[in-house]
Amino acid sequence: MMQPPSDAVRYIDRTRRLYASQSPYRWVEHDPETQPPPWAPIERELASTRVALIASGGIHCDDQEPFHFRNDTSHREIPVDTPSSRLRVSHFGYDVSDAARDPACVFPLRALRDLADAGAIGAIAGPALSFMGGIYSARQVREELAPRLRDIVLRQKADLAYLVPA
Amino acid sequence: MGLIAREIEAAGVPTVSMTSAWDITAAVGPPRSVYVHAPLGHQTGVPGAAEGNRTLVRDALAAGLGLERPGQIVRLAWRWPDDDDWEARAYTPEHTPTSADGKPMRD
Repeated sequence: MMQPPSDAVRYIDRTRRLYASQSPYRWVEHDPETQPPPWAPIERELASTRVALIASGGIHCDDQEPFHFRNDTSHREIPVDTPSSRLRVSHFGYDVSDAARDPACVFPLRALRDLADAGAIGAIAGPALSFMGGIYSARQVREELAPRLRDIVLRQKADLAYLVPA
Repeated sequence: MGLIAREIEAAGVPTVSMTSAWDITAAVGPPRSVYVHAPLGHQTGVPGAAEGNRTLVRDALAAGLGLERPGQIVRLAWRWPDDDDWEARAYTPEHTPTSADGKPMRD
């Protein structure tokens, strides 16, 4: 495992300490030797790359159903031209006060639009995909959410998926 | 999020993942990660700073695409604009995420 920088918060240690009286939280772990990450080569310059946005901060449009608390594996499809003023947040796992003021903290749709307009990226492969990351079942992520998002990204013919957790 | 990055990359589409939790990301092992030293909920910057968000995202994509080894995490040269008090507070009993009913998040 790569050594974290000295100032990085030890979230695993703190979570274990916080919930020491409860059954231990198990993080998903992959042994880098026996289960290395898959690897798809980069074949384009950023300026001609179609970028798909996937974010787990619980952002949704004002006319879409909010996320339910805990283990909600649904996702929302957000049109790329949606103004920030129409975005909302529903998530219990982090302090959403800043994201509620400006979703750009965890959902950089406007930033990607600006970058596409400026020619820094090729385009946004829309719609942007959003879900609520408070899912405690790795099985549900593996079997339900991840394949669903993968299939959408393939249909969108994205050259790159940009994943933003919260 | 790392599981989703691995699933998409395995289907042939490259991925770049943001993170502000280095240890969790290193355990899950997404293909390419960009670390931002900020409290959770700010992986692409602070509110009301469109230009800063844009610069952060552009620099993150460029840094991510430059990674050459699966599982690598690169730190972005971006500075949290406020003080560093958040480092000590994050995920301590006094400052823990709460569920809708106000109880600490647990499972």
